[in-house]
Amino acid sequence: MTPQSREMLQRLHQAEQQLNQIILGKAATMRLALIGILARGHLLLEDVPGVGKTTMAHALATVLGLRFARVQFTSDLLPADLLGVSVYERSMEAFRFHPGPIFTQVLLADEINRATPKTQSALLEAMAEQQVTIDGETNALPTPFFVIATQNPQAQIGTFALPESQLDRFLLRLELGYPDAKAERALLQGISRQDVLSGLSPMLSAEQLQEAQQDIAQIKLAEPLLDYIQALISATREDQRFSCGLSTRAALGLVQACKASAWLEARSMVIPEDVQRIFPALAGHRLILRQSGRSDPHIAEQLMYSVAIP
Amino acid sequence: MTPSRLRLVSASDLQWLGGALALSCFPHLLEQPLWLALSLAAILLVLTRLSADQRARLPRYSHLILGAVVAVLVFQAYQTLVGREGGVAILMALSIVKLLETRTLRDVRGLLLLMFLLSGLALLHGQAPWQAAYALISTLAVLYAAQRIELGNTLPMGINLKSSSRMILEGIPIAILLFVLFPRLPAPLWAIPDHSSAKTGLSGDQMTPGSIGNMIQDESVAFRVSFKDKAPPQANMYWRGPVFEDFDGISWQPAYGQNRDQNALRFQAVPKIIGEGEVYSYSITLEPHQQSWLLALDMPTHIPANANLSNRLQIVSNQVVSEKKRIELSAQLSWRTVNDSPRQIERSLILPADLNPKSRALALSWAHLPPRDRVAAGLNWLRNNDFSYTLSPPVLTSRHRIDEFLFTHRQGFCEHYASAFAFMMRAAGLPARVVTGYQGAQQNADYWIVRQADAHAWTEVWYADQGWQRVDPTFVISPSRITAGIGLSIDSTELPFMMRQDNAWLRNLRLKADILVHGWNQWVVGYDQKRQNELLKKLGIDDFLSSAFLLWLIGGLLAILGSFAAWLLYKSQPPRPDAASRIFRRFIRKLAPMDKAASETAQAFAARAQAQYPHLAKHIEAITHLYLNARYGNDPAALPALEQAVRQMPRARQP
Repeated sequence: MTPQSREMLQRLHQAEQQLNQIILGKAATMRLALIGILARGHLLLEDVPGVGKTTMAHALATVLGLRFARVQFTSDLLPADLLGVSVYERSMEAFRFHPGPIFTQVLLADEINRATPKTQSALLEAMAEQQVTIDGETNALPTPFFVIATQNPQAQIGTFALPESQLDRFLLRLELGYPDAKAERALLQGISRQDVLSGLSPMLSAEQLQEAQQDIAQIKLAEPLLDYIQALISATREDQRFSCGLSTRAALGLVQACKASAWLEARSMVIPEDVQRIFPALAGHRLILRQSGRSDPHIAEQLMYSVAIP
Repeated sequence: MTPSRLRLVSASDLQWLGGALALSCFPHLLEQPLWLALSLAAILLVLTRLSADQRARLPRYSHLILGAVVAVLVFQAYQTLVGREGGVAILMALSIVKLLETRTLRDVRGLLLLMFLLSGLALLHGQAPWQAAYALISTLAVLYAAQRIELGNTLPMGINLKSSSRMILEGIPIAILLFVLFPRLPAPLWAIPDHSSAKTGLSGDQMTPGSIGNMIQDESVAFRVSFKDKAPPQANMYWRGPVFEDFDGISWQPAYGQNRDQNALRFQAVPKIIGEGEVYSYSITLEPHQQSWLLALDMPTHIPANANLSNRLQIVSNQVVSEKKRIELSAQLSWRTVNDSPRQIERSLILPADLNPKSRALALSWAHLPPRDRVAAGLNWLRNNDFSYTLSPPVLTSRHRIDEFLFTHRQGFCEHYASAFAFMMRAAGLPARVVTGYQGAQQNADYWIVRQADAHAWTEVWYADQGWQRVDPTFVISPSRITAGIGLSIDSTELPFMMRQDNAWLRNLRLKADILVHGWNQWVVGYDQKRQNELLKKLGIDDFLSSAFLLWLIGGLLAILGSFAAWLLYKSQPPRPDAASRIFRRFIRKLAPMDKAASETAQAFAARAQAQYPHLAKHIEAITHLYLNARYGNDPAALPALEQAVRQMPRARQP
């Protein structure tokens, strides 16, 4: 490991510490969130309201030194509200494009499943291609570009479930869950989260984040681990409980995320631990149960433990 | 619950069964008289299409009635229900009727066994490569239907086809072993004389002008020849067949008829052949021609077992050649014969009285010459008098046919020349006779093909000092017939396809296919008792009662089955773990009774083990670290270190 990357790693750990100060008692989830960002993946936060989803997204953007925008998705949100509009400007005698909130580095799509499919799919192109097309004109999005979407799993009335193709574009799905009693008491005693949030300082720049991402590509992935990843993937495909197994995109994402996980632990190679850490978050939202049409992260975990490590 | 063998089969199952049955019956149907084949096929079709309802409405004894009907039909055709033809026909007919009483899985199984039998019995009708291939295909169809019905149509078509084919492939080693080792009978059981096969090729009964000319249109293979070392020049490839001695003015007849008494006379006072020059060893694979005489390169000096040399220097087999026959021979191209019977020589001078006066007069003018000059004079006369070689000579109608040919038309084919020349030589006082056979051959890969169209006739004359010698008058008229073969010597439109010179690529394709047929004849059909004995001797087996034979048979079977079993075991085993994980396994065993779950990571296990055995915590941590580096970090130094560390760690519990 070079001194530069060692320094970068240190900064990321500091960023992680800051995150852990603001979201108490969720170190594993914070780690997964960082892994997701380092693996250039989009995140889906799924939980009940009021457990700090928005706070976490905001904090993540701030400590990583990324520009942040938040859009509350509602059923009357139109693609133009997200992407921007071209307006005729009399002084220039031409149309001028007014970029929407999507032209940012971290987009928090709050309650994404409340928007109509049309708006959801407008987000789709942005997530997959890092660009948006408006009026036939293609505009590149800033780099890096991350979408952190939240959704409420319980309130199903008036929502549009994300189609499988779109779910597949989220690398990881995270759950925050209620804090434990000790963490909750600390929250109740401590100062307001808003104040903590405004006190956060960026730990690295967007350029440094990209350097870290390049560094991660050097992490070794041995043959036995590829065997393991393939065994897991094929187990999901052979399992008759799911309407379909994991895609190749998911497998590629798993490889990237495992490398990021190893890098964050200052290891030069991926080990089965990394795979097991990531797999439930990666597979949970992608494996739709045939019977209920819903997904269950615990079944993904169960499945993982039924596969032997080669 | 009903046992599975009593499970009722569905209508679609029955259709599949009927389809496979049709495939396995097809080669047998081809052999039946047309009316019988059509009625059996119709019964099969109707029974296959019968719905469950219609079956239920049929009277209870309908299958017995139908069985009786087909038995009568088969009896009508063969006058018997046993034997090769009748037996196979009734077996097939009753199998078809069996379809009517097939209701449960048990009935299906019985019928399937019959279908396997029928598929194999198809080889009674012939053993050509394509017939063997068809037998495999119909076996495959039966297997397919069997799997489909037994497994209740749960297999996708492709998988069923694949596993059926695999079963056949897996059977092949055992089939080969049994093919090689199973005792061969001296003649196949089914070599019962069979009325349907007509005699083909040359006739041994008589030779009339036109008898060979007609054969030119027949491109079918007469026999194939493999020379052991080298082949003689094509111009010397005279394949000796029937010899004719008696001439009645129209046709030539052999000295002895085919009946048994006369047959014995053929082997009395046999002259001796003294060969000179190079010896050519070769083997002939003769197509069945339903005659007992064999063909041999002129002059044979080694006679195969089971055959004899007749006093006309013809090789005659002990049996009629009713199936492909492979014979080993050798020949020398120059020879003399001694101990020729005087009666035979006298007989070769007899001419029909009062016939062909002009020819006689011509020949008499040479009578004063020495014997060899008489032959030369005769050939010279033919050469200088505008004779031509043609396949369609004018028809000879007069009483004096030789005169008509020699002095009027002067157009003819080999048998005209051989016949006229023999006549003239007799008239000139030189013993002469006509020999028929084949001349030339077509080379294909390492063997030669002789076709019916290569049939030829020539003359033999007798000299006091050298005995019987060949003289071919056709050579004088059309030398290319002898040196280059029939294909180059006459107009191609008169020739069958394979003898022509055009369309070379298609002919090449057929010659390539013939290589396959030849190999098949040599190695599969030609594997008879004699060759089996030779092969088994090499394996140390002297007879089928010896322990060596049992050893080979049982040992071979066990070896084949054993290697299948070993292969299956090997397949079912997980791949051999790499070095690092083998050493890590050893480490885990040292921590017994703890064990690592299959999906547990090394680190998780290590954490558990450290909690269990705090005194080993340092060892466990170091080993886990080395293991991760060796296995996942591709660190070459880690592996020896890991091995050492594991060796040094004490067992968690002393035994």
